[in-house]
Amino acid sequence: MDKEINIGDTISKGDVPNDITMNSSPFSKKIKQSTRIKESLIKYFFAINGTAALIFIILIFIFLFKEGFRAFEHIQLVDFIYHNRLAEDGTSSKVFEWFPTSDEARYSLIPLILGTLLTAIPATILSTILGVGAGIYLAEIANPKAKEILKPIVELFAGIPTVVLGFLMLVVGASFFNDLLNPTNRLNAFIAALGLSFVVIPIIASLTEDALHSIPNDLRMASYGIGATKWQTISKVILPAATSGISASILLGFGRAIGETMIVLMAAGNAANITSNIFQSVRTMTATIAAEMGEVSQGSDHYFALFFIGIVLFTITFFLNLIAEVIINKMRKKNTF
Amino acid sequence: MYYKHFFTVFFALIIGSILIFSGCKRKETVEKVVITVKGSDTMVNLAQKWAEVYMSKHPNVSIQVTGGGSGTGIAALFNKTTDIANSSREIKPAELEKAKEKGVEPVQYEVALDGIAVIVNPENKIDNLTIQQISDIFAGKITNWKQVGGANLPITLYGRENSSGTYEFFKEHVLGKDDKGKQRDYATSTQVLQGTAALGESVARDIKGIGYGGVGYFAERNDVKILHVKSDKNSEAVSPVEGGKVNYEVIWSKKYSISRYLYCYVGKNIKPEIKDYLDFIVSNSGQDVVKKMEYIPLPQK
Repeated sequence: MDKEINIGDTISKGDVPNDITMNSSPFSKKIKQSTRIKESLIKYFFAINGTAALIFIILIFIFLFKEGFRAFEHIQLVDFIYHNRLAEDGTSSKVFEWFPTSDEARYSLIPLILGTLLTAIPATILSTILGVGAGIYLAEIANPKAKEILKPIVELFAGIPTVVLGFLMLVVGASFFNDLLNPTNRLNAFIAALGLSFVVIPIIASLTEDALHSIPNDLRMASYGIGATKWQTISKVILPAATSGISASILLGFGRAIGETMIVLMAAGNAANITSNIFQSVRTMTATIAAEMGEVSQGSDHYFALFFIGIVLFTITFFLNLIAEVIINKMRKKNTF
Repeated sequence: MYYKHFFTVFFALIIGSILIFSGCKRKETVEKVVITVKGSDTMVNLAQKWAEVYMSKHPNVSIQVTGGGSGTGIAALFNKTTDIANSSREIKPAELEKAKEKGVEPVQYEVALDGIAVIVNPENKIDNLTIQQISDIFAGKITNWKQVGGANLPITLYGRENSSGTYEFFKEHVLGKDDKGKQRDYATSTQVLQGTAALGESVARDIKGIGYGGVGYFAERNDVKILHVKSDKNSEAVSPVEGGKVNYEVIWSKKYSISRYLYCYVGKNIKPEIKDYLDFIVSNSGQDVVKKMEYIPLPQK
């Protein structure tokens, strides 16, 4: 505030003819007052926008935990791991099943967590191979014209509605691989992983491209300077320098694969099997919430158990994102010389 | 320096407008007859649709539908916390005694029927199964089609999400109880699909598949085969569908065994609005809703 008034003062004291100063001085002062209001308004507007995300995440956090922890009114924490089935002769056996609406309700999350991993890990592996490859091509190899066309297309991939991808896998993908591989189930973890990689590849590709882009050009020049070929430069110099950025992109991609709902809901078959066979149907945590939340009777144990799954999911993706963020920040510091 | 007060004014305006508009809302909802409906989860969607259609014709009535299960609805009727109890089964004698204690005389209305078709791929050789066989298939006891006289192929089970009414009905009615009197559960390998449409789609594409769903929905589809069901080994195999149309006769007469009546229970002396609503449900327009929601309408009188 003071600064502005000072500037005005210096102008009026300067070489400007007196009559103009006389006219413009009160006028400019008026503008400044309204500008100041506008400035502070805009400042507050952006401050609200900036903090809104924080406020919402805190509110979601509170809501989720408030509802989720009500599950513990009737369900113990161990029930989310296994169910103790008592046989008639008094012996008990551990059952790992998700059957929340059965007379003998079972809430084990093990099949759901395994199902999530069996779809997300293959999807991430596949997407890493293709996504990092695409990122390297875009950042290091493609000429500017090719990059100009390809980069928006890769990003467009991320914008395809996941329900469309899910439907595609359900109808076309599942039938194609059913004839080709004759899997145990027509809808299975493999089909879901393929669908998931459609959304994970663009994330890994564009973040890898960013990571490679942020490598200082000096490194490339130095490498070429000592006679290295393009491939030697990429594999021995650029990739090692960008390792942290690329691993962050893979972690974020993995987080996306875990959190994705629609594709797995439609393509994974949703049988809560405990299996390591990728060609069998599995059921993920996200699909369970989506499938059962719609018709569950509110306030029941089942309802709160679904919220508890939400907490587990939220925690997993939160830490994955946190780790990725830490890695990216470290990389930024390292690359500023 | 009046901009400093700007925010005071701004918030005063917001708070003021909230007060004004909340006042408006309160005025609007005044003098509505509220009917509460509670009970069977199977019937929640149907009851909601009835309520929607009825409310669009009677703006002075507000109908609130909640689920919770048939037992919950009936208990609520006795505690007078609901006007209408939806039930997918008849009231139990034990419940009737409780009603007497509380001085409630429940009156039963038949409002619709529920019929479930069992479907397989058209390429499957199997045409009919007994209830016991279907039960064993979905409980995971029979895992290969050759065990019931079909090809040597593993069986893929397709089912509905565990909170849907169809899931519950099929579980109670077909899976039934085991030797120890405990309710049998579906096999864990049952694939859960979103809605009847996705289920039909999957069975139509999977020669190994078997699924179940509302008769009304599958009647007109020719990419799936509706099985004839025998209630036991020696009885006649009955299909709920004939020539692409639902065969209402066999469902009404209970010859087709995977079906049941759906009921509404009310107390003895009810408000005229509730009576009018129940009359609407059994009227032609109410039964049209039943057909649209893939349930079976009442026999025409």
